[in-house]
Amino acid sequence: MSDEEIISLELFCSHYQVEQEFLETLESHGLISISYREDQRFILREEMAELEKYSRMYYELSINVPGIEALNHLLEKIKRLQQEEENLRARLRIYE
Amino acid sequence: MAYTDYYKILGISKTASEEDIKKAYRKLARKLHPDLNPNDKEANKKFQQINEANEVLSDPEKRKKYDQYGEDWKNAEQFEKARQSGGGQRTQSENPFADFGGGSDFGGNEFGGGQYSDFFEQMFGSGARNTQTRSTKFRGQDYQASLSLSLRDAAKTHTQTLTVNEKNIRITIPAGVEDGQVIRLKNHGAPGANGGPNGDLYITFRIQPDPDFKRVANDLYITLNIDLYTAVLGGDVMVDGLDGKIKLKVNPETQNGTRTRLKGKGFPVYKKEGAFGDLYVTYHILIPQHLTPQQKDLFNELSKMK
Repeated sequence: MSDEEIISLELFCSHYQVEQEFLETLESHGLISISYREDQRFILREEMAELEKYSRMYYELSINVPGIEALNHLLEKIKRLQQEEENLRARLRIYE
Repeated sequence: MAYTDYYKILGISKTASEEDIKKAYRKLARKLHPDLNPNDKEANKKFQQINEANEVLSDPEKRKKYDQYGEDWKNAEQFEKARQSGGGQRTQSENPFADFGGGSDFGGNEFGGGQYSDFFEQMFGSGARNTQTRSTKFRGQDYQASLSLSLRDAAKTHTQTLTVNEKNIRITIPAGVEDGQVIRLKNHGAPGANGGPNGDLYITFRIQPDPDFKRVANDLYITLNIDLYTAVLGGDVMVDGLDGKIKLKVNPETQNGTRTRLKGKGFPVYKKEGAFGDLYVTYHILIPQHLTPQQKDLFNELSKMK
């Protein structure tokens, strides 16, 4: 894993002013993954957008981590259903 | 322009306490927040409305002025004109708009004036947006760009100026960058919204193939033509390295396709000062052409000796 793909957990926390404990809780709920290298902890750059979203939910909307987990499942489900709807609409257009 | 009833938007009464406002806003934000309503324009629009209502009602000063004029907000404008022409009787400190108006460092349309209604802009001025009460910050979009480099350029630490969205960005490219490698330039993406941080700029490097060298990770490969006589008898040849010519000793009786390694003469290792890969040289023996009769005789003699 190259340096460009990861960001130090400490750096993320100080930049976004979030507690490390929050990230650890997210990890324990399987919402993000934390990688380790030489006693340092890192998060994946590809997970940054999701992490920012979880931070907004937690700090701005006061949703706790189990709530975020449940919402995440529902949002995934909505995304799938929207995609499915889109596909069905596209198929219907063929017959119109 | 219609009057906007912020109390109605938040579903609270005019006597609502600060705590009531906070609760009502939070409840609606949980329902309408863009993170929870992806691709839902209607929800996003409503979210902007509750944001605006919260901005006004959670700020005691703004709320006071909003309550004072209410549906007669247009009179506020007339009052303001009268005050400016010297007709007003109030002192500066009593002026309900004295604290507002342009000049705020958050003014301008950088974060999209469309997020606030015309009513808000008209009543409080575009500079009245209060960053402290706006809780929802959105990070700006990330930009993607690609940069093409020759292999030789990629072997040197150098600076280049990129133009991204009409903005010149000077970047230092460390030696050893790989094809397809992505580097991130923090905060060089699209501006954030509501005071959120800028996005990042991701630059993907494309390393063009080199006519002489083939690169595998940090090692370089080159094919060197040597004449038959040097291959048979041995001798010194010069090979092109990235930093100039390198003298190489060819052993006697070197076979075609023989590969030799020059340690530390390859590609610089990314962000490791003084570390280099190896250079592999493959010999390609050139058979003499257009032989003279005398040369042919000598080769014949040689062939009889085997």
